[in-house]
Amino acid sequence: MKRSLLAAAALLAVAACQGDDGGNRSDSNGATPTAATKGEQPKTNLLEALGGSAEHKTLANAMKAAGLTETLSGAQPYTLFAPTEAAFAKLPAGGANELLAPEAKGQLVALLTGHIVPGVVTAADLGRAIERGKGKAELATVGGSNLSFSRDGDAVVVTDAAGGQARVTGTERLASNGVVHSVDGVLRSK
Amino acid sequence: MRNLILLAGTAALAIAVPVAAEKGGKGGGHGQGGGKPAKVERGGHGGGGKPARMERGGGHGGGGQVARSARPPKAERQAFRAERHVERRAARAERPERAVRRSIRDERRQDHFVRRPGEERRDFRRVGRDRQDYRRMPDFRPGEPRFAGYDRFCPPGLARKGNGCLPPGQAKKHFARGQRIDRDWFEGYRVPVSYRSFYQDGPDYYYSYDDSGYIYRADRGSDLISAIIPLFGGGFGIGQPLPAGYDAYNVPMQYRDDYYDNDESLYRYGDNAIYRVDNQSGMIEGIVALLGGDLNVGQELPDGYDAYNLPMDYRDEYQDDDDYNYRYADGNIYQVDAKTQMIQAIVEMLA
Repeated sequence: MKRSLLAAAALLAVAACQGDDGGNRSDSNGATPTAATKGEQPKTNLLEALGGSAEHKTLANAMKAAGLTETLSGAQPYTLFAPTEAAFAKLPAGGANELLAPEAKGQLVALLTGHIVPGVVTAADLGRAIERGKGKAELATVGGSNLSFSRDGDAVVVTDAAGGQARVTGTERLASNGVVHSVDGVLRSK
Repeated sequence: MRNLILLAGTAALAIAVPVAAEKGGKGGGHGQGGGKPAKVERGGHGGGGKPARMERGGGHGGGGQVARSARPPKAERQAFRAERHVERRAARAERPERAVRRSIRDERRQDHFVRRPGEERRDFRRVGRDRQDYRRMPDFRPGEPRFAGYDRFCPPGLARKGNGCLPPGQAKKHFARGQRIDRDWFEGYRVPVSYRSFYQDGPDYYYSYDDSGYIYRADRGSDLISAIIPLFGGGFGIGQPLPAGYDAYNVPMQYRDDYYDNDESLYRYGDNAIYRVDNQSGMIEGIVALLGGDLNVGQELPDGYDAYNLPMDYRDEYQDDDDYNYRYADGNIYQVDAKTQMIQAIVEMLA
């Protein structure tokens, strides 16, 4: 059943790609097509994408410590707002080490799940959502708190549940089971 | 044994009394049988006279006169009594009048704050009363554990703790297993609502939570902590044994094709996450899926789903238009009415 659904979806995808503009609205005008919507399926999953990035070593270690590696390499799609090395460096002295301490595991999982959003939200999707929401869009994380997105010039600014702000930096990294956006700050939940 | 002796004694008396009465009863206190000392002695008992009177010579005939003469004469005794009476009246006269005494007493009752010399006892009473008042109307001091319940609101980013608001990094496990729980510390802190179905108070134990990421199970009688359950956004701890109560497979339907129990691994769902457990050791090894869990058909699309988020494979089939929006959550694609934002249907189950 599942296979047949997938097959049908693949067929539809092929058929649709021939005439579609690549946006997620059928009547969207001028939306920049992303690589994924053109049918190029990335071979790496979220975990591999994270591990392959020199900017996300600390985050990859934290994900491993929290036991979330199977989530990131599984079949379920997620969008990851990934704090960079510079973001972890902004924490108070010893902050990153404290996060990785065994006794702080509960807090570590809560912190990391506050960076993960269900589904695949590309930069283009996010941009459209901000436009549609008159300058603001909210995304629910799997940790239970919401992230609020807005524009500051060309940059996208994310505000966490605790009121802290970070900028979405660099380009998105598409994976087979989601997408990774780099952020220059560690996001806090409530 | 004791009873036997008592009984024997009583029986002996019962026999002795009639005999004595017969032999010397008549001689009692009248001294008529004053012949032989032995008889007189017995007669004293038989007459029922007091020992004192016996001394005075109750059964000795003429001896009675000698004893009476030892007492002071009647007039002398009366004079002594009168003298004592006068002394008592004089002593009474020295005390304040009743009305005055009453007023002094009332004054003492009302005036609790004036310390008088030699009135320590009243001071103790005042201290006792003050302590009661303190108990009834405590001053609010936010730093104290017993006022923790009033510290409900902390600035953003700070964790509520029994002793106030702390940065998350400092909110660490406060108690260890086997320690006695301090109930004051947990005043106002109950297990978070989303975990209550997992950790319900029982007749023998109760659960407490202190915002440090751990639930404590404590014995009702002794308050000793018998279990510490870390909350990992799921109530499980990676690298720790599966808690009791998760014997049954409970993974949501849409994930059962991907995560099913086998010889190597067990899968358990708890509070928005699916955990993989080693089938041999029973240790939790990892989180395999994270669920949002707040989308339901027939309800309005909750906050946080502003952006189109479908997986790539499904984007061509389900695109937002003027009539419908599509959103992914928990392995499902939901169709949402574009105008009312009501979730109308699950159009695809991906997992």
